[in-house]
This record gives sequence, C-alpha cells and structure tokens, in this order.
Amino acid sequence: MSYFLHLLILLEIYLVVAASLNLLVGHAGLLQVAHAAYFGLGAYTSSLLMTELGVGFLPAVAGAGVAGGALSLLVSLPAWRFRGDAFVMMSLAVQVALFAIFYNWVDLTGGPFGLSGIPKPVTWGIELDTSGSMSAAYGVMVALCIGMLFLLTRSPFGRSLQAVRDDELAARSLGIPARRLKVEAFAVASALVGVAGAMYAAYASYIDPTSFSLDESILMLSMVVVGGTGNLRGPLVGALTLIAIPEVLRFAALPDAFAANLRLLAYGLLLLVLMRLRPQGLAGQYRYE
Amino acid sequence: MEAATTMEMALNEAARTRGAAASARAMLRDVKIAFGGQTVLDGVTFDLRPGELALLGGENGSGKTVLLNVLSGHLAPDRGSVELQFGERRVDAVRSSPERLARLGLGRLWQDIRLFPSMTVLDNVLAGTAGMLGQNPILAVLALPAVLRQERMARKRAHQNLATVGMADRAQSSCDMLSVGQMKRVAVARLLQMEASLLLLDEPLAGLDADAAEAFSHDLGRLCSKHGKTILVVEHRHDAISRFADRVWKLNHGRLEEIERSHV
Repeated sequence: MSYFLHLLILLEIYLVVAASLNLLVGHAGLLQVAHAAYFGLGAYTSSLLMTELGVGFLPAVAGAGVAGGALSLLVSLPAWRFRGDAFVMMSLAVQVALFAIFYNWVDLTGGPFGLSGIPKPVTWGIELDTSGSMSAAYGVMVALCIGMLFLLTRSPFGRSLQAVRDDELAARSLGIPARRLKVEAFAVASALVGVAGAMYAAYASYIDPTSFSLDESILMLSMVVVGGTGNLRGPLVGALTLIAIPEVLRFAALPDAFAANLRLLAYGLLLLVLMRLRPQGLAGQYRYE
Repeated sequence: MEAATTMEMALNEAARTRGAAASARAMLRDVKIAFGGQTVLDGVTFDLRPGELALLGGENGSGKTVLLNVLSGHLAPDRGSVELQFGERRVDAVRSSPERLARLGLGRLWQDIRLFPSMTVLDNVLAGTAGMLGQNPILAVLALPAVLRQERMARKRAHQNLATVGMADRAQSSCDMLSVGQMKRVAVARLLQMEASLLLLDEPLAGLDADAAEAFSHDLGRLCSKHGKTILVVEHRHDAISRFADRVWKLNHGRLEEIERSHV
C-alpha cells in the first residue's frame, strides 16, 4: 500500500511539474529546457527556509514559488526578445548555471553531498509524517495549482497566449502584448514548478543536485511531449506514463545497470514512436510539426 | 453577400453600446524606405482624413503592403514622419509598437489573412476583444466573477459579429477547416470585434465572388460615410471599390500618385 502511495505522491508532484511546463511549451510555444533547475531552486529555497530559518512548510512553499517566479523575471528582462532557438539556448544556459550553483556553492547547498534532514511538512499543527496524510495534503495543493492553471488557460490570458504561439505578428496587430504575456507565462510556470520542488524536498527529506540536472529537465519535457500539450489531460497522461515505465521495469528483475539504460531506451523509443504516429502526444491537442 | 450587407447592423449595435467610435486620421510626410539599396517608398505623403475611404493600387511589388506595414507600426521608415490621430490623441506611429496602435484603434486585415490555426472560429474573433481584465494572469484568477461577466459579453458580441459576416453556424469550427473566403469573413468579424476606427485592408476582396465583392465594397463605403471609420484599402479589383472611394491612389515606382476620380 505504501508503495502505491509513494507512486501517488510522485505523480502529484510531477503533475504540477508537467502542467506548469505545458503552460510554456503547449500554450506559449516556448521550449523550456531548464524546468528542473527551477524545480531545484524551489526545493533548495524551501529546504533552507525550513532548516536554517525555521520557517513553516506552507510559507516555505510560498517562498519557493516566489523564488522561481522572481528568477524567471530576472532571466526574462535581458532575454525578453528571445524566441525559438534563441530561447532554448537561453534556458539551457540557465539550466547549466543553476546546476553549477547547486553543485559548487557547498556552504549553502551542501554541494554534491546535498541537504539532508529536511523536516516533514507540518500544516496547521498536523504533521504529515505518513504517506497517506502526505498524499492527501499534496492532493489538495495539486488541485489548487491545477485549478489555477485551468482558470488561466481558459481565460483571455490563455487565449491570447495561444494566439501569440500561433502567430505572434497577427496577435500583436490585435493589440495583444505578446512579450509581456510570455514573460508572465514564464513567471507563472516557474513559480508553480518551484512549489513542486518544495513539495518534492519535503517528501524526500534529502535533496542533491543530481535531481535537478539537464537530464531531469529533458525527462520533464518528455512528460509534456509524450502526454501532449494544449490541455490538462496531456500532462497527467505524460507524468503517469513516464513514472510508470521505470516501475514496470522494476518488476522485470533486470540487473540495475541494465535496467537504468533500458529505461532511457524505453523513453527514447516512446518519443520516436509518438513523433512518427501521434505528434500531438497521447492526449494532446497541439501537434509538433 | 447577405453577410456583408448586414455589417452595418453590427456597427449600429456597436455604436449604441460604446458610443460613437473615435474618428481616426493618418498623415504621412515624405516617407522613404529602401531594402538592400532598392527604394520601395519614395517620399510618400498623404493625409487620410476622418471618415475617408482611400483605395490604393499599383503593380505587384510596388510597395503597397510595405506602406501598410509602416502605417501599422511593423516597419520604421528610413526617413519621414507617420502620424496617426485617434479622436483627440495623436501618436507617432514610427515610435509606437503595433500592439499599442491596435489598442488605440488601428485594425488590419492581412493579405494572407493570418487567423490562428489551432483556435476555433469563435476564439479567433474573441482574440480581437480589447481591454479584457482576464488578460492579466492575476486578475484572471482573483477577479473571476468580473472576468466571467466580461467574457460573457465579449462572447455575445463575437457571436453577433460572426452572424454579421454569415459565419454564425461555424463558430465552433476549427479555422484550418475553412475556405479562403470564409477565413476572410472571420478576419472581418475579428476587426469588428476590435471596434477599430482606422482600418487597413490588404486585398479584402480576394477570394470573394463578384456579388459578395460588390456588397462588401458597398458596406465599406457606408462604414466611412455613416460610422466615421477611416479606411485604406489595398486592392487590385478597382472596379468594385473605386466608386465608393473618396480618394484613389496609385503607387508607381515608390511614388504615390493621386488619380482624379473622373479618370478611374
């Protein structure tokens, strides 16, 4: 039972990750490859707030969201004209820079040794020290995050963002402030993945830079591509699929070294098959051409 | 055709709900622009006054679309001034972004239409709605009742505008399933949704049959005479529009020539 609750908690966390990335990739048309870095920023921010400053879980989660949003704004200011390939390169630079900070600022982040002893969440005096209580509390938090994304994507904000993705020139000629919208979408997505990072840190009790590497960013992007973009079903299906693959392989009782490579092979194969047969992903609306 | 002739009804409705649309004026002085050493616009000067309909002709590649790009803030000229007036407000189009000019009241119909292909017909029209609270992500979540109220009103107006262009029954269709003529009608509905006072129309009659083109031209004339819209139309099919036009211009090797109405 606790094994399934563990999977449920991972699914909850990665649902927020994939749905927030979907806002950027699916709705704004911005290919972000630094999502794991923002995820890590949220994880480190909340962990340090809780362990060093004694801040409670919920304020620490809010702090993680603010950190993610603030960094995205800082990045957007010099890079607000970037689009297409240039945006990908810019986000790659952010991924590499943040990972280097997580890895090398040993005094603050613990460097390669990571941070341990992150306290279990306590909300309104209730300690969430069991998988059941944590999955229920995370369920509420995920519902709030997904609800917010649902409202945003169904609002004029989401419609305008979609217009910008389809044809920026036409959108601007209708009075839609394309650049501002992209900066705002970037901030919302980064804040939400920061929140997911805080949830992950509190659940794992230990974090180190390997959880926030470029490989992880590509895994997150794969969730969006596999599940599909442009709606909220896609990220759910994508997160579920990519969390399920290693768990299914676990039951195959393969040697560890082989299983890890087979997992990567399975991800790659899945992406290839989808790009060929179903470019819009398993449950998406928007086609990658 | 029926769709086009009912355009005026929609404008009457818009005028009732928003008050008279602000009049617009476009003034170009000595505008020059060159690409790779080749002069495209050479000292273009005109004053398009409020409520006037101007027809701009010229050979392919004579710079008609470039002129529209300059007027709509997409392209800065090498020399000269471009001044637009919306009501009492004067703006320098060279220093203004296209989105700012659109918010002030400049609407553009593109030669290649440029609908948003992944959106429905209705959403394409709704995308033209100005001043939506829900375009701000914070208000979209925190001021939900007001956002929903505004969205309902915008949807109602969008349905009216789609009915005006004869596309009411295609509101939920995907835009990439439409014919060129239908796409053009949706683009016109989007302009109506914007409630722009200065319209720049790039070959609006392309893809319309003779009757529809005639009716559309007639409505353009009424838009100017009765509703004070200022319109610049780039069109090869002079025959349909010229009799409703107040001014007829031709671009010839980058120079703007005014053609006497009697010679049209």
